[in-house]
Amino acid sequence: MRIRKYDHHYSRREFLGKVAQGAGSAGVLMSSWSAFAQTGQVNKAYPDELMSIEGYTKGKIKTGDEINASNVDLVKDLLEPIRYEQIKKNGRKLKVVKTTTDVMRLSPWEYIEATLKNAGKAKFDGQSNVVNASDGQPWIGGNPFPDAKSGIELLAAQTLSWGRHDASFYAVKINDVAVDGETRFRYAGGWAELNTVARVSMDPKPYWPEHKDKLRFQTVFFTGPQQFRGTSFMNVWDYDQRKFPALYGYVADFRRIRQFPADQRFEPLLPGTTLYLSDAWAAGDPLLTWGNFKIVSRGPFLAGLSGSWNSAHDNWEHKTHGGPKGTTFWDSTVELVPEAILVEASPTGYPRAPISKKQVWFDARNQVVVGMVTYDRRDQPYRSFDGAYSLYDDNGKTFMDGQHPYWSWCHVTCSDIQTGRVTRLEQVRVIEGHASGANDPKMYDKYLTQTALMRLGAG
Amino acid sequence: MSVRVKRWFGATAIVIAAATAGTAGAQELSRTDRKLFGGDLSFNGQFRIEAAFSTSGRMSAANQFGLGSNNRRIPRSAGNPVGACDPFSSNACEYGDTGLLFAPWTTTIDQGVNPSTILNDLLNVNIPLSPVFPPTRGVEQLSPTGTSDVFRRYIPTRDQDVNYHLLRFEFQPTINWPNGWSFISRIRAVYNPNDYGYQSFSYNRYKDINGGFETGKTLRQYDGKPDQLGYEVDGEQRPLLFEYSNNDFMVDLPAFFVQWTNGNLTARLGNQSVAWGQLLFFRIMDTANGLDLRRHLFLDRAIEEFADERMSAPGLRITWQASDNIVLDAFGQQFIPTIVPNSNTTYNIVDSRFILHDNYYKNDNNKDINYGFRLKGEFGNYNAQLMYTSRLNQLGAIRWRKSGINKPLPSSNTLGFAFNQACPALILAHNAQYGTNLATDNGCGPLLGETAFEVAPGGLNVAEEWFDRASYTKLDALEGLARVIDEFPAATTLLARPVGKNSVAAYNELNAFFIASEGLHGHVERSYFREDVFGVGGGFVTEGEPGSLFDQIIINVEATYTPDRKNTSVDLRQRYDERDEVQAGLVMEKYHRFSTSLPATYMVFQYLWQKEQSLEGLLLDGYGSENYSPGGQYKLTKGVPTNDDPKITPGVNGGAHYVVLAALLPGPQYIFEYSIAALIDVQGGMLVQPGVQWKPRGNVTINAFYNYLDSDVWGNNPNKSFVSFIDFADEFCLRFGYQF
Repeated sequence: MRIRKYDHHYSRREFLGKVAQGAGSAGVLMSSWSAFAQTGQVNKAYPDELMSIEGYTKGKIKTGDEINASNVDLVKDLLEPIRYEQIKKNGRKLKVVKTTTDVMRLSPWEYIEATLKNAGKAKFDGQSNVVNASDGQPWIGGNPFPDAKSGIELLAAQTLSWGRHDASFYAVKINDVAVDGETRFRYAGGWAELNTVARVSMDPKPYWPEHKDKLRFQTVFFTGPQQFRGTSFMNVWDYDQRKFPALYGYVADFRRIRQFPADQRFEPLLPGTTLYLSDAWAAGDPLLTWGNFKIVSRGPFLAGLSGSWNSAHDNWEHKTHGGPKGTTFWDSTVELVPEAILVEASPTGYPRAPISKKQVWFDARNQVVVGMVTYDRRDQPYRSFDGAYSLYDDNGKTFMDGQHPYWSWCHVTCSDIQTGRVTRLEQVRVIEGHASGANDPKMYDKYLTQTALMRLGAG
Repeated sequence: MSVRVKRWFGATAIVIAAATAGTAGAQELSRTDRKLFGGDLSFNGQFRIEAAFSTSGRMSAANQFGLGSNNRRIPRSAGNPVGACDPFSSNACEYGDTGLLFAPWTTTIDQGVNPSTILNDLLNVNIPLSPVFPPTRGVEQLSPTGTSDVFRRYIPTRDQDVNYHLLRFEFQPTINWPNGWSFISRIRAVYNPNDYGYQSFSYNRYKDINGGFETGKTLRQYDGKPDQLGYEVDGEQRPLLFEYSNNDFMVDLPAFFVQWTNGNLTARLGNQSVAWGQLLFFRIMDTANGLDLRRHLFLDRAIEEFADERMSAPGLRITWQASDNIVLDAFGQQFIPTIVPNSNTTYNIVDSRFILHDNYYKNDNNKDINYGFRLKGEFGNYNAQLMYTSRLNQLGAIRWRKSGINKPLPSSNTLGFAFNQACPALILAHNAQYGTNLATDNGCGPLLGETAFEVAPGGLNVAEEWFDRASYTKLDALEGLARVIDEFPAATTLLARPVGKNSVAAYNELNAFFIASEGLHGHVERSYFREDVFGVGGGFVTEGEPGSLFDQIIINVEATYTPDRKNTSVDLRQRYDERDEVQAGLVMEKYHRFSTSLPATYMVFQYLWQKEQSLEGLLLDGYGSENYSPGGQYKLTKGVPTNDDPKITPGVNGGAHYVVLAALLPGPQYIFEYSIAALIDVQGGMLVQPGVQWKPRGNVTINAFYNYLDSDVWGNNPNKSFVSFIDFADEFCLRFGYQF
């Protein structure tokens, strides 16, 4: 039971005050990090109206309800503008589930443990790279800034570990839906990422000694349609975030691997989409090739953090709704996030990047990215990204990641605000034998070498 | 492997792939749990319609309908062999400019002299005088004794509207097993829908002339209409294990292999292609596989390089990721030659009057193995590579060969009649001198079968053609004539003589035999030889002001050294030319954003230098020839200087230099892609290809591009450039593809 002085306006005032100060921990009643570190819960950090949709809407929307055109105005402030527009005009719907209070269900178990264990040990070195403060070596695992007070800290943590596993492979399906509801482009493929430092699960940890100078290997490849079958790109990230990753690609027509310029991070990966390498995890580029980091707002937010794993489908594929043909949007669940931090940054290292800035929403409780909007060079909203994470533990079915249920993203909606096109991405169980999962020691040989690219390009 | 076993194996492979495809096709597209043989089955595929519409209307100058001599009235007078020495005494057979008294073929037979008289006097025989014959097909203004006339080639020049059309279906079934094994295949089926738009020459239309074309009875591509898609070699109609093809269709398996992966090691066993090197289009290190040029030559969308041309071969490939930076790649594959377009097909580059015998099968080269390795290291912004290949050069080398066609000269003209009468005596003398056992019952046929020529309609008829075709093919008209005589004793027996550098004598001599034969076809053979290719390469990526033109330029250089490569000699002599070849290339690639609203433009500059050979693999020595015609009167190829004192094979000094400039500018979201590519032969040839690709939706791709070719850009002799082989092919190309 909270005392009444914490009314709806109190939290708003608190958020505005922190933004104005340009600093401050997450949490309204207390630091959410401190609350979590002490109790494993963040409830104590927020008043009731921020911990449930009922509280926020004063009972007008309840857990289990659907947010649609008829009631979206009640939660307009909890949504990015494009999601609001899509719900209001294009038939998009969101199912509301209970706010997750157990933070251990909001990230991989080992990542959270490492975050707790290594709290306070990180700092930026003279080159603005995150290092272990005690020895100046690369970061040792978990979130280096769990009580983040600045935009760069939030984006630095996100850049250091995208999927919060040491290694992840995502079997991915992509559908690009036009304004008329026609799915014009369909792609399938895989995305592999493997950290060489800040490892918390896979041996050797925290570093893979031979690659201590690197941050990660990452590959994206496509299995269909035929024109792109075997096309792949591999990034080798330097730990120094001032440097561009080396970029190699297998070009199916050429039947061989070629080197690509490292700064081409704003090129559409595929025809018909506006997905860039730069968009990955809202932190697809080396941190220090961006700049002007700042927190621009704080406040509650609606995001998909649970209940989005479709265990009912044997390949985890999701259903759709909305738009002219019922194919434009994912069936999604959202929950009230008590505090999201909106961080802005500019692509300072890319003189002719098609975007002028990005705004990224972080769940203040655990710094998970829950949304992003990029702006074009005229500073007009360009693309909006919203997605859903989940613990893969649903209705008695569990997909394990070692000792614990797998935690990962489930689907992403990328909306081109200017054209109305929507690109839907989803993580599926398997594509052509390439199965989603985490921390597989074979992942490096399988996906993250030049030999692997040649193999993936077979045929 | 016997032919029967091989065919069964190939057929089984196609059945397996088709069954895989059928199973896959029966499944719901969106499902991913398809299973076959215990593995995960997946598939992709495409249908595509492809067409190229000629904007020049011209046909290849190598084809019957594209010859510059068609419909031209060109006078001919038979040379006089008198002055020739005793044909059986080699000591006296040297040509007159060596100081000997006799200079055979330097004059023509006088008007009114019956050719039988000359032969009687020369050979000391007693053959009857040749009667008067009416003019044969194409002959006008025939002299009373039949030794001079005006010849008008009876095969017309035709305009062709459609250079190329094809229906294509490709299907890629793949099975992945969880234990590291995969089966990967690609079926390609193409069909040439009839002759719509083509001007298809058929020798069958001329079989009433001198019994038709004997070679057509044994080699498919010379029988009837052009063999659009078949690949036949001497002794075997279908020499490739993973291909079944015929005139108008082909089904093959460019990929059909099992793959095994164990950590950093990958092995592939089966039909597959291997591509090495950083340069695009210029194949310096790309030595493993040849090209299949049957469909659209290399005139497909340039930005796709050799996507449809690169050949596969059965073999084993092992790739080992030795360390994070170093990859070792090794292969051993059956040798398969580069396949050139068949005679009289649109992009044919071998003059159709020359029958190209392919010795791939006869020489058992199908049992030979090409093998090699490449070591490649990537070190951030730098890379290096070393390679070695031991291979049979897929291009092969060509030389004269015996025709083997025992067919007499036509006795429907005075010269042919006279020779046929004299030949029994000549054959007896020939048998005595060379220990042969040629029959004497078929005129000059047995002797002709021992030469490189065949009497047949649609052949070479005027001496100007010989010079023109030699220069077009980058061969030496005079030395080539000499070798086809002095290396084939039967030719000497038939009174032919090398005439050194004397174009006039060559002209007279050729006309004598062309008049007598009423058309000759030459026979050449293509054989393959092992060579060692050593290569080295390196590259780096520049670093400059972010976003500047000089930032992130990817620069690579490559070079190979091939000692003792066997080449086609410019005179097609029996002993192949042999010399060291060096290739060196530079490629600079840059992706640059010119605006914030458009994706980056891809720009590439490439340069290739080859010490001895041109891009298509002929010696540079043979380039740049001029043509002979008395007074320069009859020019058969536009732009080629034709005169009384032509420069024959002046060659190209300093090696061949080629430049590629290309750019690809995508529109937003890559819905449209605009491209332009130019291949420049600094000797004066150019191929320019502007194009656009439109992807209205994911499963539809439409390509439109234009091929502009010019072999005398600087106003020079087109024979200096390799583009002269294809400069007829100005064309608008359209492709409509549906993928799934």
